[in-house]
Amino acid sequence: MEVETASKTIRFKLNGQACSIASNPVTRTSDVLREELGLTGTKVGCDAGDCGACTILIDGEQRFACLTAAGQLEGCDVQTVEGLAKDGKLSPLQQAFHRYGAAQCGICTPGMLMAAQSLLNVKPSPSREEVEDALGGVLCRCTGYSKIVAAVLEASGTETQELPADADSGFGSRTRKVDGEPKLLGTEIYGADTAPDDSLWMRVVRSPHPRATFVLPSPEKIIEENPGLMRILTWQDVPGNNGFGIYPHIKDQPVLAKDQVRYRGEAVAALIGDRKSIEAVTDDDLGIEWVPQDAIESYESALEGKISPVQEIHEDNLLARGFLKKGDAESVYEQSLIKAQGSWETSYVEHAYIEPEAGYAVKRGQRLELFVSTQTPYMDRDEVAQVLGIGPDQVRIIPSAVGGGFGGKLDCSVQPLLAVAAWILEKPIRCTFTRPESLASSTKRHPAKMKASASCDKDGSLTSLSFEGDFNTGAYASWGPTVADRVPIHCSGPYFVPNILAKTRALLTNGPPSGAFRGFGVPQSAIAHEALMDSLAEQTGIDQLEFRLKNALRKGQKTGSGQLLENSVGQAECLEALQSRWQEWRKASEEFNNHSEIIKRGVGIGCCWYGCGNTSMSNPSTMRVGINSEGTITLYNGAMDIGQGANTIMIQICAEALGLPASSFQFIMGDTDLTADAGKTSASRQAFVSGRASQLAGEHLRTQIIHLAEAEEDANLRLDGRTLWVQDKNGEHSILLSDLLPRTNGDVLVGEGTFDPPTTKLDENGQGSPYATYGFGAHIAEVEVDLKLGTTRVLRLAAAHDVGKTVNPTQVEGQIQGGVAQGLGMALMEEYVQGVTENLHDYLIPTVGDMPDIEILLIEDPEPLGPFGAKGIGEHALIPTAPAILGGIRQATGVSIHRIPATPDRVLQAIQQKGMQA
Amino acid sequence: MRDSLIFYVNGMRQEVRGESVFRTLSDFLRKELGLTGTKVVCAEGDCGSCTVLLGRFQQGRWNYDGVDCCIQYLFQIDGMHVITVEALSEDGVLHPIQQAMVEHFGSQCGYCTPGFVMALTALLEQQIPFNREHVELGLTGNLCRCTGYQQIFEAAFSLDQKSLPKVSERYRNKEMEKELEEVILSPAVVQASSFSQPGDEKSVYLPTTVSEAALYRAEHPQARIVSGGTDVSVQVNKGKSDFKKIISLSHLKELDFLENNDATLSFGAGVNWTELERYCKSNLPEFHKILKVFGSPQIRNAGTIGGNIANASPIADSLPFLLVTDAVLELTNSTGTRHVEIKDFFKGYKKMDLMPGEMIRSISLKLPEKNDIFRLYKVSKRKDLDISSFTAGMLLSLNQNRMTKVRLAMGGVAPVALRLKKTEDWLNGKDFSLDIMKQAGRKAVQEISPISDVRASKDYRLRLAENIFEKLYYESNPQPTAYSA
Repeated sequence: MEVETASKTIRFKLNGQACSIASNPVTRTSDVLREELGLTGTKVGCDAGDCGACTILIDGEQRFACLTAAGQLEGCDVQTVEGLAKDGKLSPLQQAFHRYGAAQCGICTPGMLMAAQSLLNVKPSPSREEVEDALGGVLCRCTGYSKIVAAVLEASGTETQELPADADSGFGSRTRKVDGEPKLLGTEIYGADTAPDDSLWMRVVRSPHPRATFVLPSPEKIIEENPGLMRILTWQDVPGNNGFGIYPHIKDQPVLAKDQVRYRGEAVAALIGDRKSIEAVTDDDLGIEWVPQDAIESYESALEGKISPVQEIHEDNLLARGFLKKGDAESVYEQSLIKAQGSWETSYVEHAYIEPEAGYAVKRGQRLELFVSTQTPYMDRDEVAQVLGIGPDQVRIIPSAVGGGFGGKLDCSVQPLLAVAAWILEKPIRCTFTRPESLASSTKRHPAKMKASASCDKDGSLTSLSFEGDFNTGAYASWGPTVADRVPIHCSGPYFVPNILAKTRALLTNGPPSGAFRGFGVPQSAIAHEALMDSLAEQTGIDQLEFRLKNALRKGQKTGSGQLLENSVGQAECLEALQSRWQEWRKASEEFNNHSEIIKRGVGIGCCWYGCGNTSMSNPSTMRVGINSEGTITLYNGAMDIGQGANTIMIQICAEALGLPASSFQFIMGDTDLTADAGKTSASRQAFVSGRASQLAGEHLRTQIIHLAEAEEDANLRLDGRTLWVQDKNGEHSILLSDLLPRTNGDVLVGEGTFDPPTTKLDENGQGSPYATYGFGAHIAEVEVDLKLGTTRVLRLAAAHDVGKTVNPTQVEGQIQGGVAQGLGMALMEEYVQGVTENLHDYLIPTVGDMPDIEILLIEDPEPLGPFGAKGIGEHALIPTAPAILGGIRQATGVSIHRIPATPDRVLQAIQQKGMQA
Repeated sequence: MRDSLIFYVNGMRQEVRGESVFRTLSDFLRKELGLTGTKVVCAEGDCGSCTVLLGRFQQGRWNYDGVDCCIQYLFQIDGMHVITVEALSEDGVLHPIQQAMVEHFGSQCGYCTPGFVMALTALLEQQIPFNREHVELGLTGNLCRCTGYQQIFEAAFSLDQKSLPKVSERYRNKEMEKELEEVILSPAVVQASSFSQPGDEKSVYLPTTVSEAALYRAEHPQARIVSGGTDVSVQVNKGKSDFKKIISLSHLKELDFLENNDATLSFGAGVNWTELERYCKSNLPEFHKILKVFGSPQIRNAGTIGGNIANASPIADSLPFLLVTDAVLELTNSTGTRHVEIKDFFKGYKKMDLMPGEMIRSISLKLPEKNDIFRLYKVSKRKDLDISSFTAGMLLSLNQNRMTKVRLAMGGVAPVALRLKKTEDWLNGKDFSLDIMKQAGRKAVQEISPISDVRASKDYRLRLAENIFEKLYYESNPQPTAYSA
């Protein structure tokens, strides 16, 4: 970083004495005190203003030294803990602390003292509330504060009272986000926010063509001309395998392309040097000789075979197929009297996480350390290892806070490039993608071209459903096979259908790689099955919601893949919860339409189901929870929190299982050296899979404590500093934690839990039990369409979801509201076009102004395998939104939109075409 | 003449010389001051993640507004006081706005959060109530991909602007304000010293009077005028433009006025969109409807009406309004002043009737009369913060049911925003009926020549140009009206 390093003279008063230092004015006061002035009484617990261990007084007010720039001290009166005692004699406050035993481990004590002193200076006889307020900024892990508060009240001569109980933070409560405050303070460290001081910068040179061959001239001359440019990396510099990809057997995407590129945005070289130099050297300066070639940019050209295949090894551009067959859908459909069919096409959709890809890598001895914004540290570790040709244990991934992922940070972005650069140059290297670079190079939601048909009997019972879908998987495999697998299982919707035929293909094209994006193809196929449901309902004369309710999957029924659903099937309850609103909204929109010529309203409905976890695949999660001799509980949480709140709910779940409050937990997230592999944050699996592992870890720790104390199984636990109290009907047992032998990390007791959701392989007809549980849901949306402009606005939306059991209602609501926003974008505006929409004003995502009022109804049909009954919600939340909105447009205008998103021009064209026919 | 920029960040004085003055404010905050709470996401004013408060001395008082600092260059903030997210919490205690965001889970991944917090802080600075109407407007410039916005709203609704401490008050400092108030009265030239080929040096000039500006323009006709810079900065950020000589108009008080005399409205070219929006709220609700969805609060606080006109985009949102109200531009250079009607000002795509060294000084227009039918339309894929696909302005005077004065303007349908003279003439004297308006729509498409681009197809634009007449008719009769714009 180009932080100014000039020193300035700063003058202030320190503990009553004049003081003058020469320091960079932006240095932390805590560093200045400890490192430059040697006053180590001021402790640093976090360097982020969270713990208050560094609390000092500036002009009598308590301040965090770690958040105070030294320059701000100019002319101030500064007091630290060293100034409290006079002539070696404890101050009255310190004496009170001493008498009450208010200091245990003592690390927080200086901060506590200074915070208390700031109050006593202005209010010699404070109330308990005022004391608590004054100490509110300083944390203690040992005492539970009661002795500290008592000490302050004693020192001031005020009466002592009992402390109020901790706020409820258990399972099911609206526990605050455990990592919320730093995010609010602007102190959270994301991928771009830190790097070693001596880091070099990296800029990636990318293809401007969807398909081309190229020759990269020797870089010597340009390096000679630009002293700040240290190196230009090419494919030859990759020490291990020049290929990466999600599947262990498909590493088809080059870290750096050798002589041909397959999509616009593919990496061909990386410039390493000081920031100014790598930015000053333009792509054109490199003199790359490009020979553009005919690109495959449509389904047709991928299948025709006129243009040479995207990848030589896939002659027919067919990356993967999916198939499911139950009964005989084709002949049932033929014989049926009530039928519906249609075709739909969706677009590339970009994740548009607000934080671009970023991180740094540094070589430490024979190990590589990578600090990066990621959803999957363990996959990154293995990927980087094979690219470098070293063992996975030689790589450490330290995840940054992740500024949004939604599936897009499952694939590698900066990781292999940073790793290669740091490994070869033996210097720390950092990189942050620009937004256009992020848009061009990152994975997308698969565009889909779908054809589907369905039939029912005259009572409205579904009899068959057939689905054929081509999914444009772009130039490289990424998650293409996953989408091809997952869609056939889900494409019949959350309904009981006796005869199903589903065929999917993942086709390679010269577009950006399609990867994982909230739903893995299921949101696309839901548009098809929900349009079919509306059409069949209309033909049978049954209300659209009632039709879905009649056919909803229920316990005791088998899914399309033949899986018997035994537990937690809340689809019917979701629909029932929406019934009264549905009737009321439909009536209101009809009344509105009676009085409106060119503005029309309609209410649509969409349903979803979605299997939690990977498809027919082992996807275990291991969680550890430890308690150290000081009484600190740490959750070693490998389940990446990408904003959805895993850090918080894993603690809530583990705390519930352990029997100690969540507020006494700390956590470490996703560091491959410190946490166990909890798998990817994807497939709506963390709450369900890692949540269960957290529960098991908590129970395991609890069992050890109970055994140590020789107490009854149902004993109550209580933590008081280093003492763990275990109370059962026979009395209270104590465990002095400092008497136990610590492990290398300081923990004296460790609980571990592993959960791998039970699934079975699918046979050649796609039959089997691919997921251990499914989540269900339904949305209704009221929309308003301007018949003359083609513009659509969503007025209100109600969402009902079966989440098993709610771990944290506020976080579940946050997932649903966020899912609706992305579903709305997919329905109405989001469409990535390579080379055209490479920024956030041409690629549109919803703003505040697009959002309807959202009402949320949580249905709880507990899942016995999940943690205390819970299951996933992340992806479910998005799936029903687009079908509900498109259904609303249909209801309002009488036209169906088959090309998604339903942009104003498409809607108007459909309306006017219908008008011409009429 | 001053040779440095002077401004304050969170109460701390900054003096900048040389090449640095061409850095964006966001770059300076993050790299120079280490204030990485301000995030950069799009670098073009689309997402609001880089929102900061900009304190400016305007019309005798200090105003603090939210702006996107990724498209503010340091030379634009000379004489101003910047407040960033780091300044909100006090002693590690969150500001009530931040606290509300925590309590209502307004932050998921957190990357957009500093921008949202600053946008809400901007509402607080203006003492705008935290109700649905104002919060939705105030946050239109901020994108969030996680929350769906609901919990951010809830955080905002829980607040009462009257009881909260303004952040700017905490930093009020007589000395700082006095210094900055003097700074904006003293012209400055700052050279980027490392580019030292004679005559080729990069520089920025900040005049304080129009005559100073005109003289400089006479000497340096190629100097690029920056007035708000919400488009120029994007071009520079994308590497599409790089200007050697810049003249920044932010200190020209003469361009910052707004007067209403009977039926005439006059305003300086330096009036920003927020100032215009405040005036129009009660006086010109139809134009206010467009202003509300123009850019975002951050953009409106920076961009000026003169900049919008001189940028000469055929889809500029101000133009249909200016065209149907017969706006006249006052143009000035070192040799004098002349007036040009806006309908004659645009000569072709991005071409204007401007003589060497000339700049737009002010705009005056005739306000619609009380009984006129006056409608403005903006069609875009997204309601807020989106470049228009199509715009239209329609102003009709009726005598009984007969149209006696007809003004029709459209944008996004030709290389320039234009008046539809032939259709106007055809309509003049005819009855205002559905049939006539439908016929007018078919005439109108003869006068335009739209193209297909990323925002809309040619076919869609032709349909809109035709349909808009019918829509006007329905909307001018008692009908339930939808959300507009």
